[in-house]
Amino acid sequence: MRRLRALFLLPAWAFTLLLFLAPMGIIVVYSLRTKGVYGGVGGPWTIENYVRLFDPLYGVILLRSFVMAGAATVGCLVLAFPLALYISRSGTRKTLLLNLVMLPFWTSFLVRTYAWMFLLRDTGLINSVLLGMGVISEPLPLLYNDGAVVVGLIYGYLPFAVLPLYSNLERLDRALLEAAADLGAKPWEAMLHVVLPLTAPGMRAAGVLVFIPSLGAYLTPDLLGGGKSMMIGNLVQNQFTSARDWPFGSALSLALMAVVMLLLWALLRRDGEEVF
Amino acid sequence: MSELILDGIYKDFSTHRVVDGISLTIPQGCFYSLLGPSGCGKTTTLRMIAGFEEPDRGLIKLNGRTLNGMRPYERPVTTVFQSYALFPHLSAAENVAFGLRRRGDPDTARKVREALDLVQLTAKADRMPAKMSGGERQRTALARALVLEPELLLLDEPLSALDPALRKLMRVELKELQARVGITFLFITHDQEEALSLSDRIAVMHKGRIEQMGSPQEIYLTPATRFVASFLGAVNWVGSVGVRPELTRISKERPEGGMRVKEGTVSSAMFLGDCFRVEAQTGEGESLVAQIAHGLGQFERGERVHLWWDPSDEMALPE
Repeated sequence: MRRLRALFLLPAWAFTLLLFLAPMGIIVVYSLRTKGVYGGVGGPWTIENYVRLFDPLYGVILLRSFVMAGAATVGCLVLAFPLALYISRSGTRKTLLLNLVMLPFWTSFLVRTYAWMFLLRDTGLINSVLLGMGVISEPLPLLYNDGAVVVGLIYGYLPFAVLPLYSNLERLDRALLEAAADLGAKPWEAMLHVVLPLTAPGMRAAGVLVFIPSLGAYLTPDLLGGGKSMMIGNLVQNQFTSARDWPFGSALSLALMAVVMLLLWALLRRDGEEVF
Repeated sequence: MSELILDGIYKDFSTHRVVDGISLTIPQGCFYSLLGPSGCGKTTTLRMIAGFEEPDRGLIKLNGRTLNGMRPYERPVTTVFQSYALFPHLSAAENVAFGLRRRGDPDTARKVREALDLVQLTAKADRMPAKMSGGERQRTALARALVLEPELLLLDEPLSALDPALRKLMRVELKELQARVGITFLFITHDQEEALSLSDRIAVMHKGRIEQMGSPQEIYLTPATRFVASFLGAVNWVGSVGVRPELTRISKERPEGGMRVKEGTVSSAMFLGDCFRVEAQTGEGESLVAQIAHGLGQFERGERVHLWWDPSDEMALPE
């Protein structure tokens, strides 16, 4: 029985070791080296890459990433909560509605992000309509700024917020709402004092699921932010491509990972779950 | 005018009539039970009084005020739910304080203390529902509903989730509690023993209608229908007449005159601790049960016996 269990775990272990832990090890090694003359790694061992992380130049990008990921997370939670509440009370249409929430996943994220560019650019749908109606005389600067990036992040990760909130609200005992009403709570009071506190675990899960990929996002800021709205994901990407500084890129991505893990640990610890 | 009046209440769920014309009056301070099997409409009736459902027809009046159309949070009625529906994120004291806080009651702290005291939960005030025993949950639910001093307390099978020993204990406590607070209790149950022992008045419900209303004794001793007679306890049916097993005697010799007598053969004899239960088959194919005290004889399977009772103990209920 024991041997059988080991056998069943083997493929997953092999996959993880080979394709996840091994590259991680390489990244750790790279982060402690100097960049080679023609890119790649070479030179002596050093912790210089980690010292550079504290350069205010990068601190600003890191801070900006946090603010934008935070804004996207708040936006997702605000949009997802009423939606999840509605779906959880939709009876037989629940499955249909949940599938609609996940429908965007059926097409490429890249294609959907390009669609947003067509929507937001100066000659895009929104500006054309507003110009045509005479509401504005100049196109609104909708694309290539932080706002566009946050909107894109909210759009991209909204389903990740809806699903955990839905499963939390679905499990919420309807008798609790009746009890609240019975004790004199108006619907909004029941929402505030019963539903919201009891969906805190779903909120945390949804927040983590949106915040972490938002923090590391590089496609959305790259396309919707133009060059102007750089996030830490873009910085990492730059180090590996145009800057050709693999050691610093490695240090950056490891730092990002450490921050994310710390955050996860701090948040999930409160659910009383064993996190690591 | 201190009372709850239900006047011609009807309720359909799609094509199924769940409550079929219920009218009753519950006097102030009464412990009133709606007794019936599951699906008889008793819970729906309670939910209409609480405001979770609206009747299709009929009036609900409490102390002269019409409740129809009022939202649950506007009604001077509170409920002890079958599952208790305690807020899992709030302690016992916070659960009890919930309704007072919604009202902005300045005296919340004192009232919560008194309510917890009333149900003997003072020591468990900070306990969370997940850590409570069944009895503690039930007391918390009671305190939470009573602390608002409702004009009427609805109890939806509040004892059914407890184990049998605790259920008997809570039954006594509930009765004492009601006497102390003087609030009208409307108690929903399918357990006839519970209804008989607790209630001042009982309405027996069946298929959405009230079959009989009366005191526990009236309902048990002079049932209006065969359904009521059978639902409240075991009955020996002999044609259109029924008699309770505990009023049925059994002996080997033929009894003195004036008694109704059936002859039969013992088919089972069981010792139940507080009595013997002897079942006999008559020549006419009836199966009669006599529940007899110790010292009234020993009976064995296959023995020929006489079963008899006083004709004044008979319940005449034609089919």
